[in-house]
Amino acid sequence: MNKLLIVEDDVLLDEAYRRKFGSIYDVRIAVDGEGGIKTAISWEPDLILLDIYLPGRLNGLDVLQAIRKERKLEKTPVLVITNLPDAIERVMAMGATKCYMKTDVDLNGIETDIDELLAKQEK
Amino acid sequence: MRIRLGRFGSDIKITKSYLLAIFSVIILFLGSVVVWNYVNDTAKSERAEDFESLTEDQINSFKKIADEAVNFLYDLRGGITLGEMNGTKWRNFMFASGLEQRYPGIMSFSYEEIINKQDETSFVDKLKKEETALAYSSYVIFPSSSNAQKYPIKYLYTYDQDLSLLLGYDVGTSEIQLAAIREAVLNGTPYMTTLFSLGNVVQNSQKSDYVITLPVYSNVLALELSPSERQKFLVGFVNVWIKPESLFGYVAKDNSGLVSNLAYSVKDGDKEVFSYQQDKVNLSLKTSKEINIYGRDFTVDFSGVKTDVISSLIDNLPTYAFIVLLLMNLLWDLTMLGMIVARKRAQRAADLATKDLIKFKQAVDGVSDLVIITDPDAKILYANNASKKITGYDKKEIIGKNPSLWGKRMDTDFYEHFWKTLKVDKKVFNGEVTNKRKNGEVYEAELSVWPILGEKKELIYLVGIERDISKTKAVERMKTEFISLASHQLRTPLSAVKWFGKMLADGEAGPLSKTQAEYLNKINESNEREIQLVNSLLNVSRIESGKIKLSPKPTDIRSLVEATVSDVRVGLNNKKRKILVDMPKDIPLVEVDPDLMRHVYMNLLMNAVNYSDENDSIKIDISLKDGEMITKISDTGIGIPAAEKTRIFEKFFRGSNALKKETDGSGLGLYLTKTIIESSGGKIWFESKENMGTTFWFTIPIESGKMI
Repeated sequence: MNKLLIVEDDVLLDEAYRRKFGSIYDVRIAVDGEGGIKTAISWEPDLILLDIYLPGRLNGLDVLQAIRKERKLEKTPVLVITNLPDAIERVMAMGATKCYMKTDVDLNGIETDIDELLAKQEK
Repeated sequence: MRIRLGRFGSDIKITKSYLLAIFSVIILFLGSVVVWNYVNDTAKSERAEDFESLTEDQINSFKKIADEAVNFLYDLRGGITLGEMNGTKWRNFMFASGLEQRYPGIMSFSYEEIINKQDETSFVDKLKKEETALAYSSYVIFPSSSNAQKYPIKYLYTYDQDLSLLLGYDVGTSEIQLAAIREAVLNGTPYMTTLFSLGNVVQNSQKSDYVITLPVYSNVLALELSPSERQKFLVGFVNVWIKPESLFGYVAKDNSGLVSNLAYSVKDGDKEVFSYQQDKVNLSLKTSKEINIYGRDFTVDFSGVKTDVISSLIDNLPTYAFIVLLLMNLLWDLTMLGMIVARKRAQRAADLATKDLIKFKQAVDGVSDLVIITDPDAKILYANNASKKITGYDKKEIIGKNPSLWGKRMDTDFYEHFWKTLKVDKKVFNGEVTNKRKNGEVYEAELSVWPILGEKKELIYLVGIERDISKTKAVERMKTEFISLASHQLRTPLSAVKWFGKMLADGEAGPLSKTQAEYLNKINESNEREIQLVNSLLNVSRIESGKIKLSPKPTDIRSLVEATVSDVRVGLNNKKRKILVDMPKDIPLVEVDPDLMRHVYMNLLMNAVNYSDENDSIKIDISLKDGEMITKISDTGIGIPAAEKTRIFEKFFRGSNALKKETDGSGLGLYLTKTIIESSGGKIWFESKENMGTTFWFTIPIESGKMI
């Protein structure tokens, strides 16, 4: 089962993720930046869903930066799923694999992308 | 900036030139007087010489008459002494002398013989007997007197009727005659009486004569003797009688031609005995002469005037010279006056201009925006008071420096654009800059720089105005950040609704009844609208904060329009509209941000759809003209009310009829559309009639040569 790390502080969205993906992936959820980085490093997920606007000291950009610095995580696909449209260009430049606006997609679309990316990775 | 005062000279200089003018007028006037005096003196002396000789001649003519008369007296005396004299001889003597031809009728001659009182009768009888002339028939010695000796007139030659009555008159009875006789006898020479009035002797006679008397001796040798011895031989006196008007009345002709209208008055002592004036003219030349005629002194006052051309010219030369000098003086004065007036006027104009300048400077000094004036190389010549407030630098620190003192380094593009606008295009530059105050604080400023051009369009000054917009910007940023954050926070729950709603609709939470599915669909639809509204709000804030940056790339408008139209068609749902597209096949690639351009078409089309009626047609018409792509989108819908046309592009504004038609709508669509088009270098406008429809046009510049 592929390991999916979700970094998202909004509990309702977390629940949606869990309900959608909980049965098909091995899902772990972090609700802030620090937790996200720790889990990513220790658990080495196959794919990461990342929000930008996070509570606490570190935001999604910091998490992305930290992940890309880790050798073992540098190729891990990171889907940035956010509500800050101005961040799109920036996160792509920082090494995000894809970036969505939360309101523009639904979970089916995300699932399709996840499957495609994981399939690519297994090759 | 230093304002130059008194460019046309100060008041002091004006006063000086006044003094100079007055001084020169005085000098010129004095000069005129001196020249006038000199010329006048010269002419005067010349004229005076002529006048002098003329009067001299006149005096001599008086003497000449008297001398000739006296010469004849000597002749008469000789005749009496040498031969026997009688009345006939006396007259013949007169005729022979020729004196009568030279001086006709003006002289009378008499002889008085000295007789003793006792011989009076025999004397008279003898005369009556011997003289044949009728006058002697009644000869009598008169007036009677008791004098021992009598001097009766024995012979008389005259044309004067009054005087002719004096035959027999004893001159010894007249003190006047006696005084002259005494002098004549004493010196043995002719002597003249004072004026003898005939009225003393002849009743009612108004006449008077001077009488020159000469003693007659019985022996010629008596003249060699002493006066007292001579007395023994004295027998009588010869006299010439001459009236003052005869003696002084022969006027000398003006032979020189220089002086005419000579007038003179002769005074015997204080009494005027004769005066002569031909014309009543103003005689300006005057002189006075003394003359002695046989022991009697006369004073002659002469006056004269010039009349001929040469004389008049010389006479008036000083006046002419004076007038000419006066005219020159006047001309000079007028010139000076003109200069002074012009200078005063210029001074007044300069004062006014200076006052205006001062007002202007005060105004510029006082405004709250920074104002600087620099030379073409940006060296600061003037800075107003606000420059200290805004930059923190004192004026002293600013003047002579470059505005980069507080300006942050411009990037190369900005720098080049800045100087190209001012120096090459010579147009005003407008922009926003970030500057740094003296204390290090960074501030944002709106900058306008005007090039001030000279007559030859050369750059002479730059005028820069900087407005500190840090506060405005900060407020704007806060507002934008708030909207941005609010949008984010609004979106998250919308996302949750969307995601759960989708899962519910997909049956992931179990199958739904038909009614449940219907309700859920409405929830999702409503949620989508909410998402669109929030997106629009966010877009506005992003555009306003400059966060949306146009990323123009060569775009194939044809396919962009086609894709948008098909999206719109999908979104029509239950609405029935015809969308007609007409565009050329060869639209070149257009340099635009495709995402934003898609938004423009989408927005205008959705408006046309939303504000038109069932089965209406919507037309899209694209054409190319003059390097521009023109898009025309028209509908036959509700239109825009005339009163609201000017507000249609305002943020959050919605037409009153649009509100009724479609409750949904943010009022942001056209605002965003206009912003995007204008950011792309284009323009947007419309025509609309209420209930007839609306047509929007917008242009986008295209770069030629980029064909698909």
